[in-house]
Amino acid sequence: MRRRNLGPWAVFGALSAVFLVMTLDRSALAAFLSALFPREGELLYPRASLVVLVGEHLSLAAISSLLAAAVGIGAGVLATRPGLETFASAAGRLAAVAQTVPPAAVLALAVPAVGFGFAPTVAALFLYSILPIFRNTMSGLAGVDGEVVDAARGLGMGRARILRTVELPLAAPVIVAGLRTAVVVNIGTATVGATIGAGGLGAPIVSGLVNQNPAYLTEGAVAVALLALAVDSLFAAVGKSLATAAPDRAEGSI
Amino acid sequence: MIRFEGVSRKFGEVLAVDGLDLEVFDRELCVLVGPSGSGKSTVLRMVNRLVEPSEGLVFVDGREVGSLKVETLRLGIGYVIQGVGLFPHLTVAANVAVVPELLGWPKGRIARRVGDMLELVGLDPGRYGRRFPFELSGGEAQRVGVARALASDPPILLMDEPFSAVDPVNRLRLQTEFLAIQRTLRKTVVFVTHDVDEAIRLADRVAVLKSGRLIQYDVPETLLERPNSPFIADFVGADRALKRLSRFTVRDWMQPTAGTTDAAIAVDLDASLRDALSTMLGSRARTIRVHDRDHRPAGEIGLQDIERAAECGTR
Ligand SMILES: Nc1ncnc2c1ncn2[C@@H]1O[C@H](COP(=O)(O)OP(=O)(O)OP(=O)(O)O)[C@@H](O)[C@H]1O
Ligand SMILES: [Mg+2]
Repeated sequence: MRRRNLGPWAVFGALSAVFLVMTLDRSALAAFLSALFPREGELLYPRASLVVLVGEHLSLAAISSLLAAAVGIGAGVLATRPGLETFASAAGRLAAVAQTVPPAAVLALAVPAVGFGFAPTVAALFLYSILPIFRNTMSGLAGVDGEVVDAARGLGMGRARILRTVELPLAAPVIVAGLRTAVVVNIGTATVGATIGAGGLGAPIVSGLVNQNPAYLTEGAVAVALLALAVDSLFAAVGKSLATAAPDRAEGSI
Repeated sequence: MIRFEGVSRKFGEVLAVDGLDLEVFDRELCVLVGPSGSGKSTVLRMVNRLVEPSEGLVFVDGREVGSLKVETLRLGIGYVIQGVGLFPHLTVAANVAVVPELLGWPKGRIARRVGDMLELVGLDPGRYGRRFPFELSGGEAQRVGVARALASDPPILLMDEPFSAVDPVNRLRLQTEFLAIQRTLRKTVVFVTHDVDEAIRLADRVAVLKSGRLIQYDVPETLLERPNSPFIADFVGADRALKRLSRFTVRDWMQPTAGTTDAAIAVDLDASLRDALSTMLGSRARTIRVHDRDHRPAGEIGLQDIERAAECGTR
């Protein structure tokens, strides 16, 4: 009865195929880079393969995003519970402040506190990505029709059940949009971690800058861009199918 | 049975309900009627504790509602909300299944019950079960709301302007169907409306509210014949005799034999005598044809039948 739109999934499939070929097929990557930079002697970043770099990069982005999702969604849920309006405004201000601090500054502050490497990078990305998740969770939940929640209460559902089976599913498209922003920004920003030894796809970029090797730089930059685009298209597809699973009248009727 | 004892409710400075004493009798359909803002919804919502009284006590089956666990109380009370309030992300069948699922019924029983309920409200389960609320007309959505409220067979039903979102023709049909359902199920119903005609047509007993106070509580006949104040007389209007006729259906007063009446001038079996009279006046016929839902002739009804009904006391 309901037609599924496969377009967004096809975009995701195509982008991830290109990305996989690039990371797994070293000779193809080398050929691509030598075509771009025929006079460069060293084409591939020598210290780690792209597979390893992608792995490091993804864990930086994934761990920080998961933490931000847990905190951002949790705070967004709390902020929309009746009686917690003061918490809502306080949390909103705090998250906005966290957003204004540039990630490089967080790194500079975090290094003396927790040392070099993985942890300070995750901390910076985490702080940076709470706001979009928090804000979207709040507005998604606030946008759920009050009458629907009223009906759920009147029928005898408890608070936790209403949150789980009514409010969160109805707010899901908006929450997923917030996650999408956060994750894609984190994938881009995670490159900064290479400056303090966190590895990831920032490493060939930094090395390319230091050694004046445009091939290294391109290897890292193209991989980050493709990864961000692929993940972005994945979220677009998920968001689209959530929106059709929870249609409202405005979208459904034409 | 539902009882209000000295119940008041304040919202800030607004006294929404003011010293209400009211008893809704078992298996009766009690209609709360009154102008907008008179406190009808507030009274209704104090039964299932969506609103708590500022003063006084509410009892359901002799037990004070504040002493019951709120979810337990609500699971035993069907609730049809003013704006329908169907879950937009669930199918019609899943909407109707909500309360049985909360009660932990086995899957097979829920599926059967959902089918029965949709049939009861006149929706084909095969056609409508898998639709989403946005794929329903206003009248269909209202029917699903009623089916959802009845699904666990609760003894009490609270309905807040359940038919307000549909056009007059569909509203009349929903009222007729609901009366038929209520005649078989005999629930204790509290029904809120601001439409006096709807109140008179459906009620076993009518409670008229004004600014949070109960002005008169009586069977419709008494309300129409002996309004206790100028406010009530004004509220029920000058067409009281016609309103009374709206409580009788053609089915109960017609003659089953079809004479030589013009087949083009006809009323439905389930139409009210008020509609029948209107049709007669409109067509200048003293006797008109009655047909059933499928437009098959079922008999005829004359002006003298309507006079008989008007003289008789109750339906
Ligand atoms: N949650 C609330 N907060 C503040 N005021 C309220 C609230 N609920 C109701 N009121 C006020 O109480 C009064 C009675 O409201 P109620 O909704 O019970 O009226 P009603 O008879 O159902 O009206 P309507 O026919 O318009 O639905 C109104 O003045 C309304 O503004
Ligand atoms: Mg109301």
